[in-house]
Amino acid sequence: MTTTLAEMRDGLHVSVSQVKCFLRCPRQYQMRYVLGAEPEFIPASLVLGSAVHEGLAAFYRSVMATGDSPEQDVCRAAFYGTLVGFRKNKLPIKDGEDMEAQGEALLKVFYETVYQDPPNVVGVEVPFTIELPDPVTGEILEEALVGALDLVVREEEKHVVEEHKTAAKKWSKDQIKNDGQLSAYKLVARKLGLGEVGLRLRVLTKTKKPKMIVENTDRTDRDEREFLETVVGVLRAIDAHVFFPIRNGMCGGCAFQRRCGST
Amino acid sequence: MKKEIIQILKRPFAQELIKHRQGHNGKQLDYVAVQHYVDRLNEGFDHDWSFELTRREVIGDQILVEVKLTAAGLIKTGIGGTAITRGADNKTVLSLADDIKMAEADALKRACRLLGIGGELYATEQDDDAGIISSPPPSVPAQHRAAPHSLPPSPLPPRERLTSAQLKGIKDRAKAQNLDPAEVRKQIKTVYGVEMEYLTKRQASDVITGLDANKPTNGKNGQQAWAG
Repeated sequence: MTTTLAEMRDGLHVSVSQVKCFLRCPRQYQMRYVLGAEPEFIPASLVLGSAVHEGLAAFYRSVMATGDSPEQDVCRAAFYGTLVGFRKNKLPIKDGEDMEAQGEALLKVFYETVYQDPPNVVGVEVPFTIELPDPVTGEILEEALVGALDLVVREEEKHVVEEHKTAAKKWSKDQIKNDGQLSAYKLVARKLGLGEVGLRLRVLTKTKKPKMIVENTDRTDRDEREFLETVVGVLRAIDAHVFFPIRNGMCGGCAFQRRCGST
Repeated sequence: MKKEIIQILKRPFAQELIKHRQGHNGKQLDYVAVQHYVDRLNEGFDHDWSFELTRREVIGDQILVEVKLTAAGLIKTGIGGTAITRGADNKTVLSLADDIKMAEADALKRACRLLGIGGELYATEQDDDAGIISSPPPSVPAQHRAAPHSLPPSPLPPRERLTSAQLKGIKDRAKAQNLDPAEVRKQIKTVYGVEMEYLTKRQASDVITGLDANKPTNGKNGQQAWAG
């Protein structure tokens, strides 16, 4: 029987998004995860990103099942299905007026680039839970790392793990090089028995003229170790109740700004 | 402590789990891998126990650690240690992480003995004449071990947040009592002000005690601390 992501999340765990949230703003982490505060709204970027993500996943699931690209409507149906789910939520979506148009444009760019040459899909939204060792003491942490790999494809002699993003602009070289999520996925893929995988970032930019940027990258042992050090550091800070606020230009888009007092 | 728990803890380890090694004065020492001590704790306390590292020191060529084992309201302290493993040049530290793990395992075993686990091994395993070294040798050949670390890690404050076993213990008990998981979560949040996953060990222990008291007795519920 396959364990679902929801079942994996039932145990004490940490995710890459949780780590990223803490690094962005420890106070926001406290509001969201520790106190379980209700957000004031859902940011449109989150809704659009999730819906586009589902559109891509639907495309690859179909490729995996049939070996061929589906019609574009398969992506659109998944996109709109997710959007409707968010709209049914009692929380308002902030700045979400043109999400449909933006989403359609992003999916079109994606579809037109990939449909002619569909990859050899091995897995879509592959759930994982792995033990995390403290890189200094070797001690296994209480929290397991839980998440899902967006896409795993087979290319020639090796597997490639793809991460899908929507972003306001193109990712910088440093972002691509230092993103901890990809370091985590390299480590995860090895534990899942996929061997030494290639890493790929597929970014759909929400620019006036949407673009899809595909970057192949890699991670070293040192990157993996640094990721573990970051996770351990974040978990220790959480244990020590270190939840200071980071006041910056992101506060306006934070769904806890009223309670945090940043308004 | 309940008689049944004491019986579980004091039950001798099966012969096939007992391994042997050579002591410093040539005599054979018996030992059992730390995992079997952990298994026995889980069996005896239904996963509801925890241990904290309260001290870690490097003294000369020795790593000394102290752990605090908490179970069923009892606290037992164990001190353990091991020698730092060095390469053929007698200088390079091969893997401090592995050495620390061995010292921690040693300390946990000693704390376990105070609860009665592995008492039958006491005479042979504990008192190796060399002093504090009593853990089994590393199973991985030294030349294949991880890269050295140049500095010993700094001592850390003991973890306060609940353990994965405690979280599971809460969820399992709620399920066994047919309590609505959402209601249990809500009640924890109301009482402690945090999500279930961020309780402290002590708070989690209180929740578990409350849930245990909630178990139906003679057809009636206990203290009704938890509703569902």
